[in-house]
Amino acid sequence: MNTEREKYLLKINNLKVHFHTLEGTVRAVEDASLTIEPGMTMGLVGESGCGKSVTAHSILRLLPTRTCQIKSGEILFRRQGNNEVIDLAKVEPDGELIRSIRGHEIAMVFQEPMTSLSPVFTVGNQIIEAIMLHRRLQPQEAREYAAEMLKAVALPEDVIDEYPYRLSGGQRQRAMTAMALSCHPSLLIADEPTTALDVTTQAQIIELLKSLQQQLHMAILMITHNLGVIAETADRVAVMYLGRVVESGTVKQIFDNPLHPYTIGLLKSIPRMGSETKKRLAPIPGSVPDPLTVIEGCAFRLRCPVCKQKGCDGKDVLDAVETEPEHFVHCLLYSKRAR
Amino acid sequence: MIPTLIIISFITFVVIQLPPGDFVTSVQAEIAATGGGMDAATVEAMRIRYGLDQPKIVQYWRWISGFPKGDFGYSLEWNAPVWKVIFKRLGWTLLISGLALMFMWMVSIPIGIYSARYQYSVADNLFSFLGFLGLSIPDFMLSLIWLVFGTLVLRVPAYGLYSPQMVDAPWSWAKFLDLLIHLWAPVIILGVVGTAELIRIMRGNLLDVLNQQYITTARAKGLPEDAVIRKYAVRMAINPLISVLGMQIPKMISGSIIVGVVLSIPTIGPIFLRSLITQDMYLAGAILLFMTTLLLVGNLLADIALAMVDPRIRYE
Ligand SMILES: Nc1ncnc2c1ncn2[C@@H]1O[C@H](COP(=O)(O)OP(=O)(O)OP(=O)(O)O)[C@@H](O)[C@H]1O
Ligand SMILES: [Mg+2]
Repeated sequence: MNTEREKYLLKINNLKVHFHTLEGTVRAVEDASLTIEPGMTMGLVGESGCGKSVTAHSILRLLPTRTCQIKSGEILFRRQGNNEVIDLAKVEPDGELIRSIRGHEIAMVFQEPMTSLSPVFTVGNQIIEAIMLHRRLQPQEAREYAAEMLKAVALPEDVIDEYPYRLSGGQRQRAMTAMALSCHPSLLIADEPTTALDVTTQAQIIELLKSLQQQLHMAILMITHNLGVIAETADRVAVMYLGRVVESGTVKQIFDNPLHPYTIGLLKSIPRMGSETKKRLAPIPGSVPDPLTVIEGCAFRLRCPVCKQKGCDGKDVLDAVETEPEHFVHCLLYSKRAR
Repeated sequence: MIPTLIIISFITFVVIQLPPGDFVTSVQAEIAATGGGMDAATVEAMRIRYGLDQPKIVQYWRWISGFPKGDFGYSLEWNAPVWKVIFKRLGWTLLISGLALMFMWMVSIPIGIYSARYQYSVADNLFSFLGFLGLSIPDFMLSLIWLVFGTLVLRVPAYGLYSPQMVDAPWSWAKFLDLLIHLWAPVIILGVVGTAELIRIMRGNLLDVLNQQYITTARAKGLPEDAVIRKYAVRMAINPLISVLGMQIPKMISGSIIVGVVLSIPTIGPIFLRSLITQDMYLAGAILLFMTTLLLVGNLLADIALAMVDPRIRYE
């Protein structure tokens, strides 16, 4: 069991990321831990502003160095080839090492396909650039390779000489995907890759990612609000609330046996096929507190519908509890029970 | 372009005729000021000789009908074809304005980039301060300051284009150096305001662009920061500067008039001023017309340049 778990590709331990702004310290990520195994898809869900993007950007060290600081925690990443493990939280954010990982071993696609490619260079130019950065190829070879990647994402061949503003949102997201996958990364971070697209295009992009994942054997960190996308793509899920990963487990565990009151609320707030349609959707009461506030103990206690009934004040220090294999929950209700 | 020029030539002509009196009245006034006088017959003869007795529309026609032949009228005061009077001065004006534009771009773009990349650094704040200083001092003031400071304190030539002994000398290396020594100050004075403006625009644009998603995309590829800035950020931030270039051209021209007058440089400026005072109407009209043409051509060039760098415009 234990040796199996050591085969992780990326392991984030108790990551804490703060922004120093004029209004004060924004505690974007307080305590995030997750593990991604090679070739698997990790879903990361949570309400807007809970720190999903900041977590993702921390992995590639893309956060603004002037205002943002990784306070503590580690981001262990197993490199291609020699299996060496490095802590990305400690590397130089604009150094050679992280640049050789960006776009090469870890690639990223973003939410806004409209703005994520530069409007003044052709799609081909931008993809070829990514290829030439990490592979020793002649420009002509790189161009052929870029054309191949475009074919792999089902784009017509002549897109290579098009400017991005001439493509539709779905086409651009495909072009982005082609660029991200052009160096065969072992991890693809997809930050809400389908949010800006219509439903049909969404489904196409998801299908595309799934099939390319199988071909290239890469892991995906799939960030989304859309639990439907998670159910369809992810092997494991991490649920984030206010900068903390409050629960994580396999898709089956999370959807069938959610433990954290927040996860339960999140699942209740979306319509589900097969459930009695008469049941009304239940939004979680209250709203996410300001990320400037400092909260000791359980971050969800201000909105938690369960803890008062169960006599939990939420103020104790809490640690992850493994209630069943691979199913972790950060909730005092369970840690007390475990004790 | 041609119809625009015809309309402009008409408006110019009307505007120049607006002040009361004509060239002859101004000659009369000047003679009277030196204690002399002219009798009515002489005045009338002069009017007839210069064609000033004709209806305005005829005068206008006589002026523009020469344009296709390259004849821009006759300067009454200088007793020479307008073209001959302004030809050389137009060249100097273009040279100084062009150099000032180049100075502006070469100085402001690197400073703008630096200021945006190292926002709020000591150097950025210093450049901001200098920029505001540059923006708030008018060019005639700067010219005067330079005139006094250069002559009295530095004891360098701060006046004219050549040193007196060089004016009539044939072209030589020494004369060229002498010209350069005289030229750099007016060029910088003319460029200061524009430089300050462009630094602010460049800095603001770049800060804007650096927040765009495609910059993060470029970084996420593994591109070094310098390359990200050079290829993706500067390229986008420079586009608006090219439109601004079109607007800088008229400022350069009016600025060169003032700097020319104060520093006594043979730009169009001094004779334009003089021709307005003496109501030397064809000369003044032709100068105005040339200025407007320059402006139109400048805007056209700026538009073409913009289309060349921005594919979104090119395709439309
Ligand atoms: N550059 C920044 N400066 C200051 N605060 C920031 C910055 N970027 C993000 N934050 C703050 O960090 C917190 C987490 O933001 P993040 O973008 O990670 O949320 P998210 O979970 O990705 O939300 P969404 O689903 O809307 O994308 C938010 O409170 C946000 O205001
Ligand atoms: Mg986000």
